[in-house]
Amino acid sequence: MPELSQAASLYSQPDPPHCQTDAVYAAPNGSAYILQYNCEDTLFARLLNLNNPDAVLLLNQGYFMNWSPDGAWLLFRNVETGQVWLIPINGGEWQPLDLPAGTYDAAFAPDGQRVLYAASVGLGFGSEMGVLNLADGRLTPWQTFPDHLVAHAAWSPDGNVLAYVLLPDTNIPFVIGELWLAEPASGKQLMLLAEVDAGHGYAPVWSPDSTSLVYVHRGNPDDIQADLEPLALRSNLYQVDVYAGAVTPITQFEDSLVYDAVWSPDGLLAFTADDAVWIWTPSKMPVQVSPPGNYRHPAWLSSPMP
Amino acid sequence: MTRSFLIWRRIWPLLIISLLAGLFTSQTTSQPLIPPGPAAPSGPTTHLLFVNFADRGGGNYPDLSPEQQGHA
Repeated sequence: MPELSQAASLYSQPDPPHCQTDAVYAAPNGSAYILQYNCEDTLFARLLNLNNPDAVLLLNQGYFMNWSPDGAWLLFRNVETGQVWLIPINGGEWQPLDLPAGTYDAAFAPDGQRVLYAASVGLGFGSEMGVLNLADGRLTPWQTFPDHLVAHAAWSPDGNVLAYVLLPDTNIPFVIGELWLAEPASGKQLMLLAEVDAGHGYAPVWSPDSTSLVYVHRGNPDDIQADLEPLALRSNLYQVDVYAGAVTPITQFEDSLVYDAVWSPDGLLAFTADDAVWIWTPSKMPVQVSPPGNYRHPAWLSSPMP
Repeated sequence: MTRSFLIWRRIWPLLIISLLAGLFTSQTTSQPLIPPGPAAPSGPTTHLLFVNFADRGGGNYPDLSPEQQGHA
């Protein structure tokens, strides 16, 4: 286990009143990261660029959606207006995207030229998924899901397949979802890969080699309290081979909350388990790399300090 | 509060009602979209960033600490 004395503080600031740091999203090239804050009555994000450490960009009233593959742009949704913005991290002008009303999720294609969106018009109306071509602004609806909400849609890094989670269109906050493999050019369902935890926002993550997905498996599906209380979830990380369909547990914690899985480009998986950070190397046992109790939200950067 | 936001709360659950109206200062533009490109070559991503909640002292102080990767 590495010594934490090797760690250096990169950014330290009190969270605003009634807020907490909810997630960290590093850019694909590791040169910038987003801090997403969860407050009682709003949410916001901060963008920190390692190449320009003195300029912290405040992104008010909304949530981060996705990084562009080159790490130069991000998608951000304003929750007051519903507008999704294409934001350059170098300080350029924000560009509004002409996405359907009710768009709640969006992700870049691996070529960076298209944005996959998910939208819904209301409870009980299901959801739809489609693609916006950034070059010409053309919007192409792909699939509708009358009884489900589609979430966490993401192409594999090589672009050969697509995966997404379908949640029941219900007012129960935390449910069991279905992880589907889908055609990359239409979103048509190909194969049910696994049942996954859903509602907490824990997206399945593609391995860098595009052969597998790591997802959060709910260990207490019959616990009604866990349907309502986010911290009541008991979970482990599982891996599914998207071509063979084989499912393998990565962690086997008992009575733990395991989440926040994030791959490094060279194939190490970091995650949070009971407020400690761990790393898993494929074919080995997970290794705890922080003391227990106070550490969450791992992300991978290309350089340690500005 | 929009329906899509309610959905997002389920997918990314936060206790939100939406406030701070008028503080949002994003810019609009009529320029054509400039599509982002594919992944750019970059150096190895070998440093682990994480949030340290230990140093709360009256508030909630996240220390974001890059750590040299050096595990087994």
